[in-house]
Amino acid sequence: MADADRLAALVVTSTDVLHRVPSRSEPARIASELERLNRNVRDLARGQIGPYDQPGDFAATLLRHADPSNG
Amino acid sequence: MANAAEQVLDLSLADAAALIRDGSVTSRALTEAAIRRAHAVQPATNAFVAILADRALAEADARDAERRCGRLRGPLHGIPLAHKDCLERSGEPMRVGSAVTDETPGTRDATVLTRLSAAGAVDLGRLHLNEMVAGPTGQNPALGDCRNAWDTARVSGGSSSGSAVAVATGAVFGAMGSDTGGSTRLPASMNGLFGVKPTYGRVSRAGVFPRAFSLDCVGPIARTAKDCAILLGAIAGVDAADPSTLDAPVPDYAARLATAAAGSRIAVLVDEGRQHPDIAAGLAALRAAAADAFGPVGDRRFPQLESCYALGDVISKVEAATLHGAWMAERGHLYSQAVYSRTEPGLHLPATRYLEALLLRAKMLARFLAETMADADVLLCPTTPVPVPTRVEADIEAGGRVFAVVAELTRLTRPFSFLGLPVVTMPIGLDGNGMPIGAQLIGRPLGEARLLAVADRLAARVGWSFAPRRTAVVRDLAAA
Repeated sequence: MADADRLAALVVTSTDVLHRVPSRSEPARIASELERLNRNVRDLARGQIGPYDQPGDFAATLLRHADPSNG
Repeated sequence: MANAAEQVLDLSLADAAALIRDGSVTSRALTEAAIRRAHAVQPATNAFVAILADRALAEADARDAERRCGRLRGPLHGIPLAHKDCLERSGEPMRVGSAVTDETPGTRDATVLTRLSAAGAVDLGRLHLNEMVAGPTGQNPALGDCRNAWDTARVSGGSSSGSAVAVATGAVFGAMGSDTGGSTRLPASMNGLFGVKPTYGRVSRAGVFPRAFSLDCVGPIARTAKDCAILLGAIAGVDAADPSTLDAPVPDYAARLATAAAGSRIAVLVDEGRQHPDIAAGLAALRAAAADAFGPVGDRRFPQLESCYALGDVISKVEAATLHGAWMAERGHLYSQAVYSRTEPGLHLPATRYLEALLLRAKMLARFLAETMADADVLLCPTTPVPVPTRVEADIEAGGRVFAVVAELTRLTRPFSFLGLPVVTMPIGLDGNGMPIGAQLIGRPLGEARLLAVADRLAARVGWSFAPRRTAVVRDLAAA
């Protein structure tokens, strides 16, 4: 079974068993979108995430790099 | 007085404010004219969900009474505005463009509306939007489509569709939109207007229905950079009701228009993707104008543009699925096909991908600022890489098309939502169809003062000025 077919089957199962939400989309189309997004983020994150990272770092970074025109 | 007020409707917000200030026009006369204009353009555009005439006139009368007593609240005193129907109003329903929601009246005013009211603005009503603030076209099966003010056969842009069209037709002087991946910038651009997606956390979202709380930003759409500056100044700042707001100074954006652009280093963000020749030509003209005004304009590359798009998409889809999951289970049939299809993948993305996207955000932002913006204060790039499509071309309800249409229209906007950076979109010319072309000005965090000042100078250089009667809608009405 190809990866796309396995992922489409997983979508059908997950929609029903995990979420109890009726699907209104073709499983293959959802699977294709999932594969694309998952691959992009997984490959980007690999080796980039450290033990001390946390989502709150983002707001701190915005403030740290504020444009001087705001002062 | 009625004709005079009609003419005032075609001015900028700043010019109208001056006329209210010196007593040349009352807020009531202006609000009555705005209500007439809103009703007149509604059949062609569908920009309004509800025109709150009685409420608006009561507010206008109160502002006129204050003026007679010598009290003026500022440049928004007595100015008619209207806002996307995702901002909660006490005593009014907020349907978010959806059949899933109901007519239950709101119990509070969104912080943004409270601040605009305190600044003296008049609220003319609730504006059209894509269902559940999701979609770049203004198409909405529950409400009917919102149509572009320049050509009703073309999309208005979304999801803040009504916000742009109401301003472009001259019904109101400004409107609030919300932007998760381009939803303020796209309709502003497609209707020849200025729009601001502020820095994430610059403006409170308390009382604003979310698409994705980690990305959502509320910002103004208006006719000039100065009008946007006035509106942003009224709404920006920390808010105890929204813990994500940034505790940073709020400058007087309008006052800074004259000075904040000084010394700005401008560069063009090289777009490696497909770009329509009309859009490329418009950006080339803007680049030349920027070089005249600010000196040499170099090229900057951002190899992670597509990655930032995917990261923003993951956050948006997962947070939307979290918000809508229960409704999808109970009332899924009430969603449009497009919104349902775009939300479903968020149910299945691994939690690890979502958290990775959140954890990468600070790193990607720091890298973008250190590399792409190392020696630039403002980056220029198109708001959309393609001309404003027709409503048929961009029909997101047509089978299997929603992902491609959204990806094409938001390709250059969503990455900067992920990075949380401030962006101003400004009109820079017309495409081969006579439709507006917009450009994004991307800045450093909290750089809105600089961006608005640069946009103000560039608008003069490219010769752009607002003219609502150029719109097909108003022109047709005048002819009739």
